[in-house]
Amino acid sequence: MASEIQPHTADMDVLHSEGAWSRVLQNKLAWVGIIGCAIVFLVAVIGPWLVPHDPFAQSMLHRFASSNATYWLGTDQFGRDIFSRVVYATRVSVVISLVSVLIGMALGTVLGVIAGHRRGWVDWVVMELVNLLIAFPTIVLGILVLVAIGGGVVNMIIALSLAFLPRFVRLARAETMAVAEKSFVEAARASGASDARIMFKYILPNVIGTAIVTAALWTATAIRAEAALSFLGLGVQPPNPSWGNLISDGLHYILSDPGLILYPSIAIIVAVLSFNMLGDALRDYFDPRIHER
Amino acid sequence: MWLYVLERVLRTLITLLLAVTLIFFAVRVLPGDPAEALMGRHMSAEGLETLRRQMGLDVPVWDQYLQFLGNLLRGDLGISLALGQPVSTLLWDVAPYTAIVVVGAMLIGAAIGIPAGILSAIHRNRAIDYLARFISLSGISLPGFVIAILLMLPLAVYLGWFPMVGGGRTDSPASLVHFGFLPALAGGIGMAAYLTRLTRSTYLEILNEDYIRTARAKGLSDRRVLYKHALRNALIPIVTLLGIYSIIMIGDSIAIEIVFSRPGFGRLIMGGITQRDYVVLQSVLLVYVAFAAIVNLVVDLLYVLIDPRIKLGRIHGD
Repeated sequence: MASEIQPHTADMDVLHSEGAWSRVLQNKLAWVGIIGCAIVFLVAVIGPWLVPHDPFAQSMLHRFASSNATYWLGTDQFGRDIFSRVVYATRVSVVISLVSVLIGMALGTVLGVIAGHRRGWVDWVVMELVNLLIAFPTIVLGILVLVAIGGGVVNMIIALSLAFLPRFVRLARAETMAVAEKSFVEAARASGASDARIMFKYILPNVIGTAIVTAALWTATAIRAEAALSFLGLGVQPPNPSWGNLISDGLHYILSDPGLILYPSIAIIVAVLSFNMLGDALRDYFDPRIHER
Repeated sequence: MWLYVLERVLRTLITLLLAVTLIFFAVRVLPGDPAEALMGRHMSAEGLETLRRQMGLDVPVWDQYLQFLGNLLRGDLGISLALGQPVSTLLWDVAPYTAIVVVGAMLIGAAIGIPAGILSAIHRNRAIDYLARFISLSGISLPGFVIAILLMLPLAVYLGWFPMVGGGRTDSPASLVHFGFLPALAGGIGMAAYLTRLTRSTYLEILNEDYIRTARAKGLSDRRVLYKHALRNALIPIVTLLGIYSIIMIGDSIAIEIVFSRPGFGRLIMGGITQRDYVVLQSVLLVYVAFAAIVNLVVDLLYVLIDPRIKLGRIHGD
């Protein structure tokens, strides 16, 4: 350890430097995230056309087959090909997560901009709604909504959009109130621009960036929430596969056939990790205040 | 200051009232008839009618709602439609099972996450930092129930060190801990990951503060600055945010409990859904929302107490 009188050691230098190394590694992490997300997207979009078997085709002769040349990852209790089902589930899970975050982002940002710009009773109503929705932990809100409207892909999207909406409203509202002080908004107002024009031409472009950066991280949360709700049997309904209900199915055969659980688990981890890495990198890049979190 | 506390408490009560209303009506949209779910389709029409009257389902929903609110104010959650027992008894019976998972996970998470975050911040951009960051990023990328299964497979299924299913006996703390350890660890790993990231960023921010520079400038040793001055200031936000993370934890605990087939709030919810037991379902959801509201309130008030510059409008965890 350094002597007591020396106030500045090598350790401190590292602490305060934004060295080239850290940038490169940061970038590497970002690239791993981008590549990971790209692979997940690719599997979701074209995967189901390329799978070796029909993910719904049952075969009583080939129940619980282990990995072989025909069934790469084996088969489940109905003789369905696990590889094909995991690939197909990628589409289901990714579509639900991505679409719900996009809807939450679009609606939430617009509501947030309007609330932050108009203030008054509009703001009050929007914020009451936000406080109500945010009072529920994500999974609990998901359970409540799905219990009321039933499971399935579309209802999952509705449930998760409602969970993410308030987060984007808060974000956009705070940003709007910060932007509203800026001189270009004053100038627009002075030159007689309408409220709608000010909101969507001048404020929205300044707010949307932060929303998009945050969206990557919320997508990771969405994939986890989708998996949990489908695992509980409330989300995507069998025989339609999602990562969560594949794991839930597999849990019955954990003693004899752990592969049924492991492969969809790996898929979830890869997807969530990729979106988290991408989200982290985006935030570090766009948020100069806090370099790393 | 007191005005702010009062306003904050009132807002929480309003939000809770709205949430209770939403829960009450959303749960009743659930298709199916509780009387039919209980007795099956073979019961006579008159029998079903009597049962409905006993369950209080024959009056209009609006009256049911007012009655429910009145009972709630007196602390009465009602009688389970399917089990015929007071819901508060059901809740208290299983509360220890859920508490041990949530509290255990928070403790494990804090014990691993806070030291790991400090080490990571102090050795920023060194190997140990990258390792801690990669592990914590992976940790937040695993849903709790997946961690639970991945722990169950080697430790309960293959090695048999821990029971696979069940919650243990409430009269024996040792049995509760034995059954509760894996579920708590499953939640705790995720919690540790969150806390490592939070501690690290909090610590890094504090190391940039003026008083740390002053301490360093007046010649205090690194060790003294890093562990005494910085730690004391970092712990305040960390411990406060621990509360926010407990809200994430109770959400995660539902699926973890189901993995281990534990008795607990998670099973009450799932049972309430299959048996159309509105009363149990709404009560458990209510407990979760009340818990989250109280935690948020306490955290907000603590923040103002600690740092009066902060007012309202913070974004909370999921």
